[in-house]
Amino acid sequence: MRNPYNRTLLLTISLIALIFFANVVFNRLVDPYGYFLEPRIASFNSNKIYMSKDRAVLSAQPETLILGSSRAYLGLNPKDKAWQGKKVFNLAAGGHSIFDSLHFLEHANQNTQIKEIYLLIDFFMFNASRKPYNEDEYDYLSSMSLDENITDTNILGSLFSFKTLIDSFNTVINQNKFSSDYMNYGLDSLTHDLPRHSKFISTESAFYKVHYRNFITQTLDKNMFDGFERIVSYADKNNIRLTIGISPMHARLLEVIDMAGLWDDFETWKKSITHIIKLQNENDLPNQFKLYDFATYNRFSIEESPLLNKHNDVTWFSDPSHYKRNLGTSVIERMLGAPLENNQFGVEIDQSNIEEHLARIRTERDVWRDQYPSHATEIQSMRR
Amino acid sequence: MLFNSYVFIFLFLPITLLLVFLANKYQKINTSAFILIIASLFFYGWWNPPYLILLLGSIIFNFFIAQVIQKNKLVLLLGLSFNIGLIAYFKYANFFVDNINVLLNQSLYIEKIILPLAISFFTFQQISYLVDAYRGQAEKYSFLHYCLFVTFFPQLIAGPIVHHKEIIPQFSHKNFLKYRSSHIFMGLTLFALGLFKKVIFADGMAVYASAAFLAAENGVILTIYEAWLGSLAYTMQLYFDFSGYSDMALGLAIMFGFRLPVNFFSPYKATNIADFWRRWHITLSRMIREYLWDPISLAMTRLAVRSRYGFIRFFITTSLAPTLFTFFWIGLWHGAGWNFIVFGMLHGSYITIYNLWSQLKQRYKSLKIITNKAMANALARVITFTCVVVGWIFFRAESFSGATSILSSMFGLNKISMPKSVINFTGLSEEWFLNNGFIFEGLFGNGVMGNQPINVIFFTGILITFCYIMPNCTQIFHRHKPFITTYPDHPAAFTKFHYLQWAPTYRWAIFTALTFCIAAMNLLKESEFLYFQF
Repeated sequence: MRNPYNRTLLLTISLIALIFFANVVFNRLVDPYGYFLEPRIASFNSNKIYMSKDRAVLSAQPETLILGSSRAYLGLNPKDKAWQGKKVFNLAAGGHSIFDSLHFLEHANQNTQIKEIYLLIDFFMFNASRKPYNEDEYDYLSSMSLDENITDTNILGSLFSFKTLIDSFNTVINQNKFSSDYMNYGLDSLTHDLPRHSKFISTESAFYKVHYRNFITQTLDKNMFDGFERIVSYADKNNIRLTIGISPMHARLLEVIDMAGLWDDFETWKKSITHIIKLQNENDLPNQFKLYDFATYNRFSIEESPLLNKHNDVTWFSDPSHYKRNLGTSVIERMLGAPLENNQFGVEIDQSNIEEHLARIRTERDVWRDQYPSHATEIQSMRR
Repeated sequence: MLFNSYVFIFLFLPITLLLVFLANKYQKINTSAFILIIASLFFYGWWNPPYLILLLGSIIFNFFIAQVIQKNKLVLLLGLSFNIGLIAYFKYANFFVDNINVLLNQSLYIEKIILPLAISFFTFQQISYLVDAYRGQAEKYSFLHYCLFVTFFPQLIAGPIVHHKEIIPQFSHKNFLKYRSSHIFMGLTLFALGLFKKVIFADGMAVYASAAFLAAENGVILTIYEAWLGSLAYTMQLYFDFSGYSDMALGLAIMFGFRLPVNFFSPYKATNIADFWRRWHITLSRMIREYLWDPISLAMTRLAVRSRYGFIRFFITTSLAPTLFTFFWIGLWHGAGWNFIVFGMLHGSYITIYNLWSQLKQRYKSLKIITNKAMANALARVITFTCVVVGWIFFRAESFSGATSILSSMFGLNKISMPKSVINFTGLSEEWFLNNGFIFEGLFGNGVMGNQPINVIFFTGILITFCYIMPNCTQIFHRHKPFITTYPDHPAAFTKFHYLQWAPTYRWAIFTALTFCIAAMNLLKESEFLYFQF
């Protein structure tokens, strides 16, 4: 070939082809997201560290589901002994709104019969102003199945991608670092940083700005309570036992809600949830849904958080929003029927005791403020 | 279909190239042109097939009008009103009705009209053809050639806005639609460079730019450096997005044996705002110059000369008025929104100030304060660049409050917003800062974008440096010219980058392959090009 263009063009195209071919073959072989059933080679790729949850839930075929936001995701261990041998899958995920929970529930239930749901709800999951809600966004879930073929563009695209390559490498390298069982039940590797004062402050401030400053439960086109009602009626229709918990949070974050001027809304929110459950339970007597409130002032949530330049460790929380797994165990135990300790952690609420319950929280809020005046002032000063 | 999608890169492009070349070898040239037109229509119809009817209707109507125009003003008017009516309806009807409602306190309602892809581009192209046909400056082309001129997919969606005189004559060139390894290789390099700019640079910057603008839109008062970072990030995003797209278009075109006009010539190296517009979106500027600015400014100059205006009135008539008028339309061309009009008027004012300054400098030599040429150039670049950055804020922001919030954060107009860490850093008390016009808000301090701005500063800084020191495609391909050059630069600009000249060497082969692979392997999410909305 005398023409220099022929030579160089050939080299370019062969290089491109080679790189892409090697990448696709390697990614297909390792299959880090678990798109394919084969091959599974022990200590090479059988442990899918990066398995996508929405797909993993299909293969895990759980009977019990955890739904909710990052609090439930990080705090509730699906392999916790407190589950008493239930086949649990944690399908909660960071930033999930109540509508996300709804659609993930429908997705998980499509080819496995779910028997029980533990839905951990949070006030901010009902913020309608945060992200636009569009039913079509969840279409991909209904088209997902375990035996997808390679021509599905998502799968094909992921085989080409650089990120998949990195994930493939990490899958092979970290093959034996985590137990495979854990991964397939919706839990991933997680390290809790030592809580610092600045981490508390930044979480609280972000909560104020991102969630609470523009908090509304209803916009022109969507009402967040619809999402909740749809979960409740879906569970009822499909004979699923639903247990609802309001996630624990640190007392400082409760104070942020008050600082944002949302305390009344917070109470109304709890009342509305109670009301929806009451209506449901009246309709269907044999299948009674329960509601537990962990977002109270209790011995866990009022533990002293780190102050500036002090490094006291925090036992139950990694930041004011996320509780640790040790507290998660107590949440599970309580929701499974363990008796209420004398500290208001996981009070079962319904129409009959809600007013009294809320009044008690208000009283305890004042007690907390007296006990930790510097924390309360610090939070109140964040307001702008 | 998007250039930055696997379907395009690995299926559409190779298949189209193969079919076109095969048809050219074993059939007539017109067969391969026909195949290319069909492929282009498929490319356009990928998203929304019904709009194909609009595109085809527009082509047929304009072709017919051009056949019968023959210096007939009425026919020209009919043609122009059709094209302008089309674009007015699809692009501006909603905006117009909204403003009428606000102004007259009415509640007229029309459905939200979805903007057909590329309508601003293909309508503009055809208007210029009609005007030329009316002036007797356009030859009679065959329908096939005319169709190919409008629909040719590399330039159909977001330019470069081609002129029939520079494209259609190429159809009779011997290399047209023929396989040439040199063309494919040059095209691949250009495409790889463009893809890399888009996927790695522009999409990388988009994360920061979007976060900052979104936060400002939602009432967060950005800190002074966040506001600057956000707007600089957007400045980089827009440039790499659009120029990346244009490079890809040039590369794709040359694979088929087409040479398209170059759309960018390192715009951020401009030393004044007029120079900026000669380097930025060149094919739009020259189209506007030829069909809007020149006729208006000629008429106005005649008027001013005839009326013997003094300096100020002369300046207003011949420079200020036509400039603002032209830039009003440039702004509006970019989109139906007041922010685009403000963007246009702002640039119009920049140009006016620049014109005034250069005229004053000619009159009063003492105004030349800085005599050191390098220093004067550096200062001029910084000023021009800053003006451009400010302009982009209006271009990007969704509302006035968002734009003004960013601007006031950048220049500390309200209070100077700072991260809280300065308290520890300076040792002064928080009260001192609050009492002296500072506030503590922003993204980083609150963990919205992580706590460390250092990555953002680093990445943005690298890209700005890149813009200043690297050669552009015209310079890299100076020797081979796989495109039509549009910026008349001094030859020194080319010899300076002698060592980076493109050539058919193994070095360039490896570079092209790596650039292409890195970019193509990062196409996780196909993101649209910013200029698709115009």
